[in-house]
Amino acid sequence: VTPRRATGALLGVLVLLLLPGVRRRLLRLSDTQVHRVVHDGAHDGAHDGVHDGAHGRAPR
Amino acid sequence: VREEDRVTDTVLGAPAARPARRSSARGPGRQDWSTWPAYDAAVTGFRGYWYPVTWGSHVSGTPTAVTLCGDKIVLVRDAGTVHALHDRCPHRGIPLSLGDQQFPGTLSCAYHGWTFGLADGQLKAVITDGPDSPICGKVSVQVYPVEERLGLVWVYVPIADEAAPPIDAQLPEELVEHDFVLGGRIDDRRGNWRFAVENGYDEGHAKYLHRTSLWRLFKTMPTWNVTRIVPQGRWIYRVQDEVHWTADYPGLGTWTNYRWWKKRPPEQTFNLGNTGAATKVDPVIEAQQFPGFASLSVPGVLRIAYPKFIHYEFYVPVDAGSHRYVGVMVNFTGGLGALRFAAKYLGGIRWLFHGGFSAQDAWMVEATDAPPERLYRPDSSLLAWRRLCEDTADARTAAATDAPGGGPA
Repeated sequence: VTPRRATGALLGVLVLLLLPGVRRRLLRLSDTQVHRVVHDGAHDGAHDGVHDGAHGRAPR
Repeated sequence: VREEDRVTDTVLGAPAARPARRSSARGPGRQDWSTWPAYDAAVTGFRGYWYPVTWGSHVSGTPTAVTLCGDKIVLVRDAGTVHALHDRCPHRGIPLSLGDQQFPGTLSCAYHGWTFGLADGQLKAVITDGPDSPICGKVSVQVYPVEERLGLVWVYVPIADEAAPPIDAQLPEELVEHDFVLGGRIDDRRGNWRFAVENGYDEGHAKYLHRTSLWRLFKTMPTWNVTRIVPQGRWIYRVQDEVHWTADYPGLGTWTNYRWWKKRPPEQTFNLGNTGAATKVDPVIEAQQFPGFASLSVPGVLRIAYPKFIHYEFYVPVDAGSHRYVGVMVNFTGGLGALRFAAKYLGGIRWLFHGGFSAQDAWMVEATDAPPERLYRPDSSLLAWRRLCEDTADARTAAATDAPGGGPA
């Protein structure tokens, strides 16, 4: 294994992991998520301010 | 505490009692769970509770089918709000989850275009019967209350047609008011939900079953403990009175989880975490003043408090033979601390803890075959859980009977 081939293989794996479908099927990443939960002072029980860090969604 | 619940001197603070044993002609031990009729009957879970069913980001305008407490349910997100309907078209029994949205605020069956309102479940239109279909307004499907909390979609499974109680009253108290970052994993698993709960709260298994997990590679697990169960509010807590790291078994030899590469635990007994006392405890966790590090509440919420984080397990009943594991680790921090936690969770914890460690539990839950069962001293934790279920069911029945409109407490 030459350094060039090893680097190429590593880059290839990284590119594959950029594809959402590959990530989901191979690593089951969608089953695990990280969320930041912030309760503001006016929390009325209707909803949380959930920052979905894994999907980049705006706080609800 | 009923006499038949006593297998140790520490169940719910009861005085020393002779170990109970239900013998019969069929053999020693318990042959059934008739001692706990409500628990025994809850094969597909307790109704009248909120359950986390999936991540909020997994629910979109495309219908998602889930099974909860034996009920087939379809989830749809419309204008940002998640709705839950019984997943069965009354026409010919086709799952509505096979359909799609033809109009805003509705879901149409894939077969003949029966179109139901997401908010009330009423039949709004039948596409293949024209705009004046006489059946409209005469047919409906059941709708389920839905909330989004902790990044998860929660569905309330009613007992009858009662209004859902506030979800905040069912969430662990410390998660309602505080800010935090959480990492979680959802996993569909085989085995009845009650086996999963009992495994989670099982006092004896963690120190033995999990001693080989990579998550505990550098942490010594105890050999055996002396514990008691303390009820407080809607939770039961397991309090450690003695922690033994090594023991001599007569005629067999010494057994310990000590290894040269593992961190040596402190000598004193502690009640946060199960691998050693901490020098520093998170202020939010400290403020809760948990009597013990492992606690459990109905309908199957396990809380394991460590010095710097809390781990929760929600055991969601699917049907008689399977459940959904929702494991959540919470760190009461923000800013850079939240980023650090996210990196640790996504990079390691989800594999080591919510993956490998928890998979050992899944392995045992799937293989559990009880009753009949022959319980031993540490199983006082299981008996306390079953009694909690009975007491809670009794209280809810009494409250429903007293309430003018009925419904759960």
